[in-house]
Amino acid sequence: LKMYCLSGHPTLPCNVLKFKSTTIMLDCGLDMTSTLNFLPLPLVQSPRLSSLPGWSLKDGNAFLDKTELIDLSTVDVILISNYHCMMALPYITEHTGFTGTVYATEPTVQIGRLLMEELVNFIERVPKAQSASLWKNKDIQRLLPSPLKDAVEVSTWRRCYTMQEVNSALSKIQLVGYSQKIELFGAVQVTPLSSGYALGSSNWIIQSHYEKVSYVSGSSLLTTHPQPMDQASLKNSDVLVLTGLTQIPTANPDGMVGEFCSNLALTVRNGGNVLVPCYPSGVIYDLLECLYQYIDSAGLSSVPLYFISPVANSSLEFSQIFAEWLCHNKQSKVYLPEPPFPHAELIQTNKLKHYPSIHGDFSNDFRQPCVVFTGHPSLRFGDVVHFMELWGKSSLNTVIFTEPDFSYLEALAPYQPLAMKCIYCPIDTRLNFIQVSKLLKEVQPLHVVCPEQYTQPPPAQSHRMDLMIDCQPPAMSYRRAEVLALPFKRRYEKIEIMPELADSLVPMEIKPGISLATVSAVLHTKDNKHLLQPPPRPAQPTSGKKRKRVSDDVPDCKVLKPLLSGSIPVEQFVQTLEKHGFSDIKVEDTAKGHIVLLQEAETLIQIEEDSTHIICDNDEMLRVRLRDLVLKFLQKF
Amino acid sequence: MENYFHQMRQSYICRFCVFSFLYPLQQQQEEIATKKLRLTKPSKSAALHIDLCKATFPADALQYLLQFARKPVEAESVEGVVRILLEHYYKENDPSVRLKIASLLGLLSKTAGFSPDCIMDDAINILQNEKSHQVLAQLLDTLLAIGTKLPENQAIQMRLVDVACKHLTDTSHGVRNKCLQLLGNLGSLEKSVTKDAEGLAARDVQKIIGDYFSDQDPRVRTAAIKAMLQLHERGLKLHQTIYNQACKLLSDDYEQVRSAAVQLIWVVSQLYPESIVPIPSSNEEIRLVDDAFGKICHMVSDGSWVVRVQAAKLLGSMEQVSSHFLEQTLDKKLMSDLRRKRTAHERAKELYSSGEFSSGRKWGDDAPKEEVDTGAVNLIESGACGAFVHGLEDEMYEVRIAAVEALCMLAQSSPSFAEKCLDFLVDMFNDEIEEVRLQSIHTMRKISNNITLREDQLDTVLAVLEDSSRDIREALHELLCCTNVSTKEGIHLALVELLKNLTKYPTDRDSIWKCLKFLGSRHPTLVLPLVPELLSTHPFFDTAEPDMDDPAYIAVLVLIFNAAKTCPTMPALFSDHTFRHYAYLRDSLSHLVPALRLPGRKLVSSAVSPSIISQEDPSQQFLQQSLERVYSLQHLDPQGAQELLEFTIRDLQRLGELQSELAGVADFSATYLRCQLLLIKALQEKLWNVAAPLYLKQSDLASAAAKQIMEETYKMEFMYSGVENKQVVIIHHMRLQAKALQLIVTARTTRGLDPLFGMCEKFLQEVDFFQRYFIADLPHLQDSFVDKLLDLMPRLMTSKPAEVVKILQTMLRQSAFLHLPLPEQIHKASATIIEPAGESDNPLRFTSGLVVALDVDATLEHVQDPQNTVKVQVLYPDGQAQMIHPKPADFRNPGPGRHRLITQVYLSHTAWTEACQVEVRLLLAYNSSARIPKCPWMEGGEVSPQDVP
Repeated sequence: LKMYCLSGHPTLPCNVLKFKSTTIMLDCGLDMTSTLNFLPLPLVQSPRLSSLPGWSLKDGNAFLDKTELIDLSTVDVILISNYHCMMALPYITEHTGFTGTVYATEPTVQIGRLLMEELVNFIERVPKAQSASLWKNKDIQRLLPSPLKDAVEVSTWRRCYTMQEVNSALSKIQLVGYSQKIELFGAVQVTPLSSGYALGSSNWIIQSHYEKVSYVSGSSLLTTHPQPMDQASLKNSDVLVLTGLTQIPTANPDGMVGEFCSNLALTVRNGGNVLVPCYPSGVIYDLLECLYQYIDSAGLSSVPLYFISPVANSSLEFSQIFAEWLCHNKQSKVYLPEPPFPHAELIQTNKLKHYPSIHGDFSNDFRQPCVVFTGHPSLRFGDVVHFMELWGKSSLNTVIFTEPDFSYLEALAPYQPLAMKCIYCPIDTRLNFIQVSKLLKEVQPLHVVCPEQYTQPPPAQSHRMDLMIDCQPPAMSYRRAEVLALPFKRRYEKIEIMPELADSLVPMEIKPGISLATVSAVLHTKDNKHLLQPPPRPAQPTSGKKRKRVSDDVPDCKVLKPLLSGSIPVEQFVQTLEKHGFSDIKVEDTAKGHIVLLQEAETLIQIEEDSTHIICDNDEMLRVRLRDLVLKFLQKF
Repeated sequence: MENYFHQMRQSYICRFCVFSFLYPLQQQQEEIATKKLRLTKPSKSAALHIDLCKATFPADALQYLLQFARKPVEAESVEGVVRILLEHYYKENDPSVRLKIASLLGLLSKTAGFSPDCIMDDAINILQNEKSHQVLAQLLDTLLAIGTKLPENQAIQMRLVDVACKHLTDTSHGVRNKCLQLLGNLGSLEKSVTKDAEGLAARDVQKIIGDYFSDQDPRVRTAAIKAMLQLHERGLKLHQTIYNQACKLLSDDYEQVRSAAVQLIWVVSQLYPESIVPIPSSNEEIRLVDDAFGKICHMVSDGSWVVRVQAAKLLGSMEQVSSHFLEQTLDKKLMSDLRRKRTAHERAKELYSSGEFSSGRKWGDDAPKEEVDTGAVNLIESGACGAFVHGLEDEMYEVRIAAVEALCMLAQSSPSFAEKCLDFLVDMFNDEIEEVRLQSIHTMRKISNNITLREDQLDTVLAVLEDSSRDIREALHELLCCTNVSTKEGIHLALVELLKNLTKYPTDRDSIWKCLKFLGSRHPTLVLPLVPELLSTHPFFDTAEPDMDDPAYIAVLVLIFNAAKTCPTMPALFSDHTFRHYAYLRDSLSHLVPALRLPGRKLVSSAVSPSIISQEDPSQQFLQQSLERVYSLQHLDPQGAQELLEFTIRDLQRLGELQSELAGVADFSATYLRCQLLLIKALQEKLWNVAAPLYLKQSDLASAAAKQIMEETYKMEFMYSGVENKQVVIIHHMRLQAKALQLIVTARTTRGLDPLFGMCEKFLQEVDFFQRYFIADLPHLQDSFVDKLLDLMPRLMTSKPAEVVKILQTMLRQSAFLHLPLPEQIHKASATIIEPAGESDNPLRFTSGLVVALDVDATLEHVQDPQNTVKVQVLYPDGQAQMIHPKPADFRNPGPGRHRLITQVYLSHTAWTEACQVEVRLLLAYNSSARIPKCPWMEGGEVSPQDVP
């Protein structure tokens, strides 16, 4: 049982687990922080951006790091835990010889598709004429200004994938439901469990008959919109892989939402616009729900909310139809029937409007002051770039960062000097360290495996000893490009017995409570399942009738020898020998047992714990006699 | 631990010594071989070596290896690196490090220029001692890489196959997989070779692989089938016995196995289509291809959609199948054909031969009982029947698309099947997925030659015209161009629907007109009875004259005029204004309206059309002759040469206008002649006769000529499709002359030598480049400028700039005019912007600061690689210009040499308040050696956005 760790990023994990002849990849997150090294891609050519000193438009948008630690064509399955963790899927399934299957829940696939579509759309609509790649050369990279110089693994950055690649990658996905048991080649069973972080997000249990590995990634104990986390099924696991904890352990999501609302209200009251860079799915549903309750009380009901994304419509609609993946009170709304999310009402009352892009209808409906939700949170591409350019000059406006994936200061760097206000209230509902320790106490795994970052306090707050995982035995940590041998061995394998064969068994009680029976059977293995079948009978003599019968090809089986058990009491054995006319018997004790010497016959009988040897010179008669004597002491099956 | 360190250090020192011996040795060998000192770089392998020795823990070693793997290794140092890796391999206890080393070995052996046979022995050696299954599998992969690198070496391949066979019994599925892969890729193809190799027992690779069809692990079964397919791909003829084995795998539990098995069955059925196989449960026998077809059809209703897609796709390529099987695919009724009941006579015969007779005690106990094997009974034993019905109704659109494709291919090979599948195809026009609709429309177009649409079918087809997707509508127009309609109501219906489409989507205008053109010319007799109604004429009363600019009216006229071409009675039904409109349309839309033989009118254009063919040759001749004449101008005086050139250019231009087929050639040669003319003119300038310093300003003409020649040569090189290397040489030669001219002019007009030095050097570099690049073509350039220049090259290199200029000047005057060989096919690239139309009245409005999207629709002709070369330029009234690169997906390719660009251009501006004109241009980017100048090429419409504050 081994784990290959392909990604060092704690919230965007990518691990490969070798477990009982199957190779399972757990998640494939795409680390997009490398885009921060690029200039923003504006929709319309902007003279300011293209003339910034010290920056130059480098090749498209390239990201991702994957190491060549393992041959990706040997990966049998990929398990996806949530839609943020599947963004690298096209890089893995295409052009690497990958032939396996991908398992994910339906909302994960649908929303993941939306995220990828948005990404591809943002990048493809402004194609670049030329791309530079020479700078990735080590010698040249050394000479570049500092953020690029320090970037690691530049050679693994890649261009963004295309829509064809996305479609072909997504066609390899098989949909699963929570608690559905999926057999992998008969050897391993995997089960997704609700993790409570996002629509359709899941933790996975990977188990064989006697071992259980749990994979916890991006879970949340807060009650937001998704189905609550399933903790009970994680119990009794031998190994628990823990990734995707909160990225800002010091911030409380509830407080951040409050801050978000009050800042938003303040700006709008002063006549400014609010820009919220966000992903098209996920936290935005919660934000809209909060705003739904908040705007009326704050007297802002006349302020329009705009949601601009190529997939805005699908995202809002999809959220309403995934009823079975929602938390209980949202689910019960569906039966009333009512839309589970209140943004349906916002749309109906024209308070929330959504547009596929900044041009077209949006241009006609645009009113200020307003609140705009749009992507991409890295501020490097997407419609958000245009709004930053448009509103950045006025101090009335505010940009509020809610996604924790990108450092907001770095994201803002190319837009400096900036007059607009910047508020950072990251909302990350994933588990924090207090919740983790509570969870671990409850679940009681034998071993915990987690990224290195979680075993020590964050570098910025090195005194906060509470910001690390604390458990017994201490968690095993992994780093990028490391191979971890998980500390348990597989000992047992399950074998089934055919009913006919089981019928024929006659157990004998050896100790009270323990019975034994010998089984003579043929072990039949198919699809990694083992089955004991009754041995083929020796061919029956054919009846006198002349009958054309197709004689089955019965493989010749050897005559079964009985098995022996028991120990030989030496003294009684010597007595028996004497009874049968052997004299001059010497018994020597050795380390392992006894040696009985028959000096007269020049014969030696070694009796050890697990073997008995009779050594005599070419006297077969004598040997057979002695053998029979020995056998008398032993039990036969 | 201390002890360990000590050991490590020791071994480190030892090995370093060995190493320093190794390298000089290699160098020596090389010196002998090439007599040239080449420095090998020991740094790479040595660095790796040191790193590996430093690594005390496996994890560190792994990191070093990972870092090492990122850098490429030169072919010369591969072997050294391999040795070091192997050495480390023997010592290493951690399997993950060994795994990485094994994969590195595979990577290294793929290095170009490195022959991996020297490391094979080692690889096999370490294979034998390896315990970890994973590493074993990786090592086998390495061997595979080595084997594929040495395809000629039979002995090595035999040996590798031997190794693979040995490890086939491994317990790990990964190892078995790789072994099978190895066998598939390297298994010997010919029996004769195995006979020769006496040491190794002749192995029947097919048999060995076939045994693993029943392996316990599904992944191994898949790998076995894949290996078999690989053998087939490499040209080995598979045995027919495999067919039965593969058929068993069709009912496997795992979809990968089934999917691969379907493929294998298809392959076998193509190999042995005519051999006979028995049908189980009866004594009948059928052709193998039919049996395979039935089996694959059955897989169209498989549980896994991947298998269904696979099966549906393969069905399309089984053309040898018998027609009654084919037709069954469209019929859902169950058939008992494949499980035929035996006749009573047959049963009696069987009973007799088995020796069982009725005892007579009970009535009817000898009545034949059909033995039913419970395992063999499918709830629906379908065979071929209804395969396509199932496929076309499948829930997954991928399956439906595959089924439509298969249907298309089968229908193309069998007209009777095409007739039958029409209904099903038409039904697919209503599919919910756009891709499926599009595919079925295309399919229908391909088979439309031998079908006629009924009215109800036409109805369904025409309903698609309301589709919001432009692609689908245009595909449907294309389809209507080549379908046959059976009744006049059908034509009427089609016209009405097309007009509806026209009002709903005015952008489809051109496509609809074109469609009606073909519809009319295909069905003249059906259009005839409709004419009075369509033109709304009345026998007694004059009706109002319709608006000539109405696209719908034009559409109707296009239909009628095209029908009238082959229907001489039709013009009698036209009213007066129709004739006038005909004349107008014939002039304005000549590509849509044919020449008609109208009563009482001059046959203006009809005279042209039949004579075009006969005239083609003379015009070609004329072109040739005028060019021949030009090439003799060397012997004329300058004045005469200029006149001759001018006349010829004029002739050529006129010819290009008259004969569209020759336009490309004529333009191309005219441009070339114009360059020559400019050159001659520039050299005739008076300024050359006067002392240099006096003419500082007046040399404008010459330098302008030089510039223009340069520009024209770039146009010649990049704006024509079909330019061959022969022409490129001449064009470059002309450009070189222009550069020489430029140099001379600058030399005369500038004072001081410093800038001249640089220019001279640059020019000589260009000459050098020309020589190197076109070395093969130099013999053709006898007596030319370059030819002379190269003769004098040594002198030029050493002389001063002033002297160089003087030499160049005389040479330019003396050099001969080169003959431009005409290419076979040459076309000038051109583009037309259909949208935005220039004269649009209503301006686009958008909010200040936001973005407006402007639809651009253009057709490009004879543009090579438009995805990379065509750009859109937007010119704002304040002089700002923006270059926009359209997405590759925006280009469609409707026909050879034609492209269509449909894209959106985003405009934004913060400072406007009034309506202004914005210019949109298409640009063709070209790249000549280093510079990337953009050449403005076709300017199109303008728009006037208005800003609303």
